[in-house]
Amino acid sequence: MITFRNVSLIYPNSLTTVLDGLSLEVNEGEMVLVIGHTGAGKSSLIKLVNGLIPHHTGGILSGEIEVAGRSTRTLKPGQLSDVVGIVGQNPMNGFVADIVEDEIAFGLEAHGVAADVMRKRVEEVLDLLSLTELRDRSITSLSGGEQQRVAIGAALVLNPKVLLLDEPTSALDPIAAEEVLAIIYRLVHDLGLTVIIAEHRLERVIQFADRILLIHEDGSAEIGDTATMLATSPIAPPLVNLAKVLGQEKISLTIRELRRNTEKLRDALSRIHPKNSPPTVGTEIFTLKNVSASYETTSILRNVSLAIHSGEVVALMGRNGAGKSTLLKCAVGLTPITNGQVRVCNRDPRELAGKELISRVGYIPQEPSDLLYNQSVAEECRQADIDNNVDAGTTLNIFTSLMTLPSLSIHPRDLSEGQRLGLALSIVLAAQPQLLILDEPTRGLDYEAKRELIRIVRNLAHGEKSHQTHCGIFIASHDVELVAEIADRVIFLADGEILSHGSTREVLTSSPAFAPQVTKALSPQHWLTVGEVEAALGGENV
Amino acid sequence: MKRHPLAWWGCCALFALLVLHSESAIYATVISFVIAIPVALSRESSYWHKSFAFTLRIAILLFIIRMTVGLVIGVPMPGRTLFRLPEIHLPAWLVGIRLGGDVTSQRLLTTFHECVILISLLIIFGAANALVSPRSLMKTFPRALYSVSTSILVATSTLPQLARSFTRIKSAQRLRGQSHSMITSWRKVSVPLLEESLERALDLATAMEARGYGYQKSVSKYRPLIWTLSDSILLTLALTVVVIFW
Repeated sequence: MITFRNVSLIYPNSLTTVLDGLSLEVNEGEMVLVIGHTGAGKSSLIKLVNGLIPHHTGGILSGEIEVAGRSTRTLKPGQLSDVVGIVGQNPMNGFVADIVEDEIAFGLEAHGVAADVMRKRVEEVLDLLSLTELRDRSITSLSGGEQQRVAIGAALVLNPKVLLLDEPTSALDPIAAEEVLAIIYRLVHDLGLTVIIAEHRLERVIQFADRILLIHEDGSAEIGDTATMLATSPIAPPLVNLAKVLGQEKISLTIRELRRNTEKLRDALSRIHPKNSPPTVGTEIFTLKNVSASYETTSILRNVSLAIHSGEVVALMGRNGAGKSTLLKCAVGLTPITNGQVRVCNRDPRELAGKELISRVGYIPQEPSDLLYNQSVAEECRQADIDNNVDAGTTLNIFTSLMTLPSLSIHPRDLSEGQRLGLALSIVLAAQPQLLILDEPTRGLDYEAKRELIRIVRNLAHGEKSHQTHCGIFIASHDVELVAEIADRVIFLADGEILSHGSTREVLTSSPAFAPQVTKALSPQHWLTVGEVEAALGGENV
Repeated sequence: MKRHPLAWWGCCALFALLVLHSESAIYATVISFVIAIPVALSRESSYWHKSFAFTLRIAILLFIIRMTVGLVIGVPMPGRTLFRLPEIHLPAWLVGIRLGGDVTSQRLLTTFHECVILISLLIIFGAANALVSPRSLMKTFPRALYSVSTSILVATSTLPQLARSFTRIKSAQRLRGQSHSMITSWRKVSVPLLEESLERALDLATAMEARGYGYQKSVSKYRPLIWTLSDSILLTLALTVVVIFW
């Protein structure tokens, strides 16, 4: 179905090779998962298949790419649109119409399909993606998962043979992600659709993939069967790491498989218990008392009360649209509160501004790049020194202690997601805030960047610091694996109300949808992370 | 309120012509209010509809800027002196233009007059956008105007998103501990704002391209736009009003 023959790709004005001599063949009805570090060229590979590269985005390409017998060299993406459908990283940016039904019909209109055929096709696609009830809704009013489904429907309406998906679940909560992936899986099996999917959160997709294409940073790539690739790949989900720690020879791709293979092992494990080590917390630095908030007529927060102390990491979880961001914004006085009381270090954040605010709360928004507006990393750091009224070079020192960059004159736009988050963190930390807030920090982060983030956050909250008190950290995330690694406590928000609240172990192990892979694999015991299991086993062979 | 896109846009275009032709602040004010009524009545919740509030805010800002500039710079005008601004004396070769100085009743009136006409045009355009999304307007374009309609689509779709990005980036400035002074933060807001809208516009163009827009000779309509009697009535009414007050 798709053939790459000796394909190499470089971008003009860039020294690194994105792809180097890639040859591969994808058969009809196959689902190939593309993995690699951020910036390794996953998105580029996807755009190559339908000719967006080089026709639309540019890039110097050598070699030959064929899709369903047609070469992308001469055909433009529009001319391939009947065989290849693509769903971009941010579907919201690519919507053409305002209403769901019109959006799905758009491709058919552009192809001049007759009106009666068009009606039938739209109807089929609405059914296929369970969108029938949403057909008249305005797209902006839909949830993230629903929007993703509309984007997939819009790509499928022309009956393509190949579907390309670029990080389809990175913005979705676990339940919405499962919905979307289940639909893709069904399309592959029922219609024989060929799917190429790029994704960072392997724990969500490996069970569906037939083969994995791993792109290395130098542009070389290898492709192979999912289990064999994961056994050696530096990028692997917790389930695979757990299998390795438990000494399994064969890699399990699903929870079920691992449980069946490790029945005896799990018995042995039940004799040991995970160690609970609650952190030593300090004073209360962020409190909400009976806070309610609403936007226009819909209420977003209802009677929420909570307290965050210094020296602890608290995770805020919940589905998309549960009010997580609104709750976080209370801490910087950006939420229109209708009722209740907010205190940050005993002050109302709405009365604080400038230095007074940022020396108390550091806030990293969902898009860390919102905080960045200068032309280079060095300039950004200088500006932060001035804003925070600290010695020149402070911010830069923090940044270099967090990560290394080849050059400080790089434009913040050209940094990877992880580096951008690091830069935003350094800017915020330069003011030495007592409370650090992160909204959905792992969007677009690969496993390595995530590990780095975990190390930084834990160090801020629990690390050894003599001159200064520990930070209190409040993170909103639907990345359960991150929460399992990072948080001391979890607050679970549903529809603007606190649903459950307790230690990470209590909350995560009691929720089936929001449980990390290790918990699912080793239940009914309450293990959370691979590291925990490894430490408990302590080298002894069970 | 579901009318043919061209009916609303036709109405607004006629009103705009009337405002331009009459050069009357009274007409301009009345028309602005009249055109705002259907916007207020319509129960749509699309962001196009919501963007009208943003248009109004821009209109107020424009009004203030234009008034200040009009009062400070210009040629001397007769009339009763209302108050005096400190005057900066310009070199002799700039005859007739002054900075500051007497503000006469006529100067105030002329400036006000021009301002009202200017912002009423903006309000009419904003109302047209709020009543009919430019996206559905694009559908009425003949195929020969393909590239025109594409550019309109891309350009207009960034507008409401611009409004949302603006609030987001503005609140991010607070998070960096910056003061709210308009002038100093202008560059800091505009740079990320422009970058973001450019990125969005590119994404949209990519998505349209990938779905085969503009490659086929014939294009079909999923929801054919039907010109109904009420559309004709609406347009005739507007035309009558314009003819009467011309």
